[in-house]
Parts: sequence; structure tokens; C-alpha cells
Amino acid sequence: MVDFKLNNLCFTFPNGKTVLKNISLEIKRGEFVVLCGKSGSGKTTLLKMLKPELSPHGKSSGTVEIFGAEKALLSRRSSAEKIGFIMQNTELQAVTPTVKSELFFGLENLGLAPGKARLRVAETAALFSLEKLLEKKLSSLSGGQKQLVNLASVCAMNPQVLLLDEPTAQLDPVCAQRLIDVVTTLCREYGVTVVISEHRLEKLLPLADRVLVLEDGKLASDSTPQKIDGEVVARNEFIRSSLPFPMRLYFSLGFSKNAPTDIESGRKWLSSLVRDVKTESLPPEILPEKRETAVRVKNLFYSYDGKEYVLKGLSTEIKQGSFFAVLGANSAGKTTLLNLIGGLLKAKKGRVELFSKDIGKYKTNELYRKNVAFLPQNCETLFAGPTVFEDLENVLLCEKLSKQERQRLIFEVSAFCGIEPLLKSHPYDLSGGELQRSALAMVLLKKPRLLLLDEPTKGMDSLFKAQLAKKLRSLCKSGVTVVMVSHDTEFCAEYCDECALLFDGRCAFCGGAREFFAENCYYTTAASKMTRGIFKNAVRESEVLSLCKKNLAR
Amino acid sequence: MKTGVRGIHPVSAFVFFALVFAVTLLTWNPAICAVSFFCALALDIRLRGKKAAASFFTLILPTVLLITLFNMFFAHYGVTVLFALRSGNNVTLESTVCGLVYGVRTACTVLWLFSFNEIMTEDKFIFLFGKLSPRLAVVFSMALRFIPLFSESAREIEKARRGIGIDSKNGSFFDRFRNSVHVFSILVTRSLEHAVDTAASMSARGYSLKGRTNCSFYPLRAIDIILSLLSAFAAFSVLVFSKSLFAEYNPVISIAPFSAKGAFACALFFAVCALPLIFDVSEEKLWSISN
Repeated sequence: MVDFKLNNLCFTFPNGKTVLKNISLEIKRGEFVVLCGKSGSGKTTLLKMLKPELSPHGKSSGTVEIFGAEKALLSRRSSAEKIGFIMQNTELQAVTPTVKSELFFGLENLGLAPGKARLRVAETAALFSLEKLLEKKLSSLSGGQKQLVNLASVCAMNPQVLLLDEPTAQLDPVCAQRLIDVVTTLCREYGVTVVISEHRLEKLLPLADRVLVLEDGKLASDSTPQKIDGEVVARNEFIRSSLPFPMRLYFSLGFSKNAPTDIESGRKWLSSLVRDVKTESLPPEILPEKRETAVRVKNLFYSYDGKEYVLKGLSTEIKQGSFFAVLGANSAGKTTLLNLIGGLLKAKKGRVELFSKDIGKYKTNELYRKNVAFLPQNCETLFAGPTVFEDLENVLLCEKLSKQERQRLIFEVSAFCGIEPLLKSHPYDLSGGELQRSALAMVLLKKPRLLLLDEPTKGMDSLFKAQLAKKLRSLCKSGVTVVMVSHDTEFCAEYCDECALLFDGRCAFCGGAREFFAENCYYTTAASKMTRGIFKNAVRESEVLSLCKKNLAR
Repeated sequence: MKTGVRGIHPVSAFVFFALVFAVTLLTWNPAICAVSFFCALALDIRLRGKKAAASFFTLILPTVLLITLFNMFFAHYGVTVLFALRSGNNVTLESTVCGLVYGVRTACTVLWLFSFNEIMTEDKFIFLFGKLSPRLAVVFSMALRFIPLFSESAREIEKARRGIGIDSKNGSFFDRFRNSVHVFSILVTRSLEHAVDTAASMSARGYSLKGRTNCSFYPLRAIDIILSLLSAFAAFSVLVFSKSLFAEYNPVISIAPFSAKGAFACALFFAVCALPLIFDVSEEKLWSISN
């Protein structure tokens, strides 16, 4: 049975921008389809074309058939009931104040009798293990819980199809995994058709029945994950960079067909490829000579409620010009530490020194001018509009500068961040990556010596991450200290110099990033996991690649 | 499911509070005032504990005192002169007593409102509105969700901008003013932008379909029926025996003498006001005994 059948679908927005070009495809009942592509490649528009209520206005040609009938013939009731849609933003899909009322919302819209609706909610709450949260207010839940409630409230309506538009973009890896697990169960055990757009393919690809690749609105590839071949990957740098590590390695070594998709099959393939290991590990990295200290934190205590301490006597040191990552589980106090260093919170006990001066001795004006700048997790909170340029200018208004001087500074920073073409746009029209680059520009206008970033890679695709890392590294080279809080182990292992792991309110480790990931058994990168028992101390893709080449060369 | 007085059916709770408010605000009888005041205070302490005690000393007592003193010194009716002011005006017993009654009545209203807030939670309001119109219930619940979202958003924006030194507490007066305007502008733009997404989510989940139902569920228990009926009966008897509860403070204090009718109405009112508290305590006691 076919749920969706698209024939030569084209779509053009009223402003003349064509986002979908000649898309033809079929999605069968119960399939798990992953939709990937760069941001701006038309993923969201394609998903919305499959849900009549959300289809954008504009010119479209070609046909869309849903459940075997023309799209226009699908009744609004069956569209609401049978096709569930989950958006990227966890916050805005909820309509009512409590979890319980949110679960009832869709069922009340469908006009279910109270008794029947209650049974549905009971079932759904059990499936999603939400029983304990039922009476809670949505505003008191974490992002991951909210997204789970969003999914549950759609699933209570018993949909045939689930369309998910980057559902895990704003979640940390643990919550993201939980959501993906639930979606997989819904597909495999309950036969729900799933179409999910994502750019983090590491976890999703091994689960998928099919992978659709969009490239500038065109369907570049439509195959099973196993059949993604070297040809598509060679053409498309984006796809290459977002594939799971085993596949990336496979294609980098020049193989083309039947790539291993998960770590287990990757390890099997690698151990059969490198039979006799001559070179086991690469020489250790030479760390740069010691520099002056930028941040010194001593015996820091912090508590939000006066009872439970988040930080319990934390001490650490960050050198000038280093790219430093703060790692740790959820609610380990990472963001709290960053806020304390940035002066947005005050420690209950202990001290924070910035550039050998106590943070309390800085005047507010002095602290946030040429010393510290903080890039928040939700960058959109910085922008007022109407144009990016005006927002950048606003940052400089407090400083007494001539108009020419201001413009010179803005153009300089824009060139660095690559946002010159965006200066005249409204900030809310930008994509996530563009918005973040603009926010970075805004922060850099303050010419900080210490740059603090809260989860800068959340929701970013792999290509953008690489660009961001390049920018941050060049800042570090010019003497800026960059401190970043992150859940992204791969990113930290690849690009950071040093890192700290927070555990139980203190630093469980503080030192070189490569050393850290190489020595860890469980908290480490895919490369290190996959090469376990084959190579030693291989943390980054480049390292594994050169080790493979060394061992294969005769 | 909530237990005790918090689990009272929305309709009963609404009837109870409406009638208690009406009786408290429409009678001048000191006995009724006192009953209302002590019952409201006891229920408040039961429901909010330490917070209630704190607000008693910081809000309730000062309110009573302030209103009494204000009436004492600025209202000059009455015939029993206590002492004369330097301005030549007299402070009278009548205006003092009347001020006290005013103050206590105001305090009663605030105290009952505290309990009202605890018992009539958002979901009960939605239930009440939902009985009138399911659509109105959605509008109401959206508004309730919007308020915390809006204030959270404001805090987030202010903090984000503080991190680069352009918040509303930084710089010269002019800078601060400009930054505040920006914070507000971001807040509004963001909320509007978000409203578009929420609207999309609503229509995707079938909000505009015909025949919306309301599924909020509250079991009707014996206590709910007793409370509603008793409140109605008490309010009715206060109304009927209003002559026996008569009280006037200007120009002379004249309060209806003790009568069986007045005492009956007053006792009934006391029973109603105390019932939620008695119910709450007894349910807890029964629970601990049966375990």
C-alpha cells in the first residue's frame, strides 16, 4: 500500500524562489524514510507538502497523492487524524498549559467522546511513560520531555503517518536518542509510516529503510542506506560529511559499494581489512607551550535553590588562546559554570579570575567591552530587526564612534563571519546556521578576549560545524580564548585543544582533548569506538585514515 | 487526581467562592466579617503554609491597620468623640469602628482570593469555560500558556543581551532606555513569530474541525454537592434574615441585637466557610487512620 505518491512535483514560493524541482517518489505504508540535505535544500517544504494544512502558499505543479487519492480530495478530518507532524521547535507546538490537556487537545478537536478520549490518553501515556508528568505544566519540563509530549499528543490521535521535521535539532544526544527510539518502535511495531528529516545521520541511518537526499530542491538520491555508493558521496560533500563514521571511512579509503552503516559492522569490516597491524598508534600530539592563564576558577560552589549544589568546589584553569570545551552529562553544571565565568551568575563561594583579576572587580561596562562576550544557545534572542545590519549597529551604539568607524567595524566582522550577503535581510528570515553566524558577528563586535559559547553546534549540520570550527580556531590563533559548553563529543574531539569533564560538581578531568578521548573507554568518539582492539589512541577521522593507509601500504 | 479541598469540583468551588464573596462584601455585620476573616485565614494557612503566614504579616495586617487609621483620621462622621486633632477635626469611635470593618472586609477578600487561586487551578477554569464553549476553553488555555512563555522569553532575551553588555541595566540613561526598547521589540517580534507556529500546530491537529468536544473530567462527589447546596442555603438565609443582621456605623453605631434568626444565619455561614478546611483535614486524617 502506498501512502504518498509524488509525480514531478515542483514548488515556487510567491517571491519567485523555486525550492522543489521535479520530485517523483513513492512512500509505502510502514516505511522508515530519512530525508537529508543541507539546510535550505527544501526538506521542510517537501515535508509540508505531504501535510495539507501546513502546505505553504505558492505555485506548484505536478501531483501529490495521499493514501491513493489526489491531495485536494483528502478531507481535513482524515488529514488531521492520519498525518501527524512534529516540528523542530519544541516550545511552540504545545497549545495548552499542562501535559494532560495537551494530550487531550487533538482528541477533543476530533470530537471524541470523553470516555474514549480518556482511554486513548491512558494508552499513549503508558507507551511514552508520561504517567508521572500528566499533571505537570509544560513550562516546567525540559526540552527533551517537551518534544516527547509533542510526539505523544500527535500519537494519541492514532496517526498512520508521522512526519518529523528535524525533531532532535534542539535536544541533547541523550534525549534525541530516546525520541528516535520511540519513533523507531512506532514504525517497527505499530506499522506507522515515518518520514524524518535530519542532518545527524549517525544514529538514524542504520535504522532507515530508505534515505532520500535533497540537493537544491532536486532528489539527488533515493536508496537504501546500504546502497548509498561512493558516486553520490563523491559528488556531494554535505552527504559525505554527515554520514556515520564507518561509512565515511569506507568511502575515504576508495571503496564504493555496500558500506557498513553502524559501528559494529564497521569494526568487522576494518578488522578483516587490516589483518596484520604494523602501526598501532600515531605519535602523541605536541601540545603548544604554556601560555598565560585567561580564566582561573577556584573552589567554586553554586546552588540555584540553596539546597542542592550544582557545583561543589570546582577548580580549573584555562590558558589564553586555547579552544576549551566543557563536557558533561545533562544538568552536570556546564552552563552554570559558563554563566559564572561570564559574570551572569554570582558564585555562592569561591572565586573566578579573568586575566588575573577578580571578576567582581570589573565594572559591568568594562567586563562586556573588550573582555568577555557570551553567545547564548538561542541566538534569535539577540535580534530585534528590521535588518541584521541595524542589529549589528545597535551593539556599537553604546560606544562613542563615528558612523564611518562603525560601518568599517561592521564590514570587517561581517567579512570574517561570511554574512555580507545577509546584512540587509530580516533576522527572522535567516536559517539556523545563518542566524548563528550573524550572532557570532554581533558578539565579535565587542572585541572580546574571552568568548563563551553555549552549545554552538546544536542543530547545526556537519558542514556548518566545520566552518564554525575554522572561524573559532582562527580566533584562537589571534589570541582570543574560546570556552564552549557542548554535548557534541565528535566536534570537541575533532577541533578543541583542551577540555574539562564535569562530574558531581567538580572537574573529573581537565587537560588535552585528544589525550582525554584516547584514554576514555566509553565517553569517546565513534572513531575510537570502532577501532577499539585494532588501533590504539585513534580519536579523529584523519588519524584512523592515516593509520589505515600506513597499514595497507606495502 | 488531586485530593482534599484541591480536588473539589470546579462548579462547586466556583459556587462556593462566588457566594462567600457576595456575603462578605454585601453585609456590614461584624460577626459575619469575623467569621469570614478567621475561616479565610485558617484555610489560607492550611493551603499555603509558611507563605500564608508571611503574607499575613506583610500584607493582611498592614492592610487592616492602614485602612482603619485612614478612616479614623480622614472620616469625621459619628458622635462619640475620642479626641480632637490639631487641625480641629475630631476622631470618633464610629469612624474608627467603621474603618476596622472596612479593613477586615478588604483583608477577607484578599485572603479568600489566595485560597481561590490555590483551588481554582487553570485546568478547572478551562473545564468551566469548556462547559460554555469548547472553543472559548482553548482560547483561555492558550492565554494561560502564553503568560509564562512570555515572561520566560523576556528573561532569556535580557540575559542573552547582558552577555554582550547591551541589556536594559547597562550604560547611560539613554543607552538603558534604548536597550529596553530593543528588548521589548524582540519580545514582541518573537512572540508574534511563535504565534504563527502555534497556529500551524493547532490546525495540523485538527483545531478547525466541526464538533469539538471537551474531555476534562471531574468526578462529582458527595462533598461537592453538600458544599454547593450549603453555600446556597447559607447565602439565602443571610439574605432573608438581613434585618436581623443589620449594622450601621453612621452617625451612631447601631447593630441588630442578638436574635435566633441572626444567630442561625451566622452559624450557617460559619459552617459553609469552615467546611472546605474541615473536609481537607478530615480526609487527611481518615487516610492516615486507614493506613
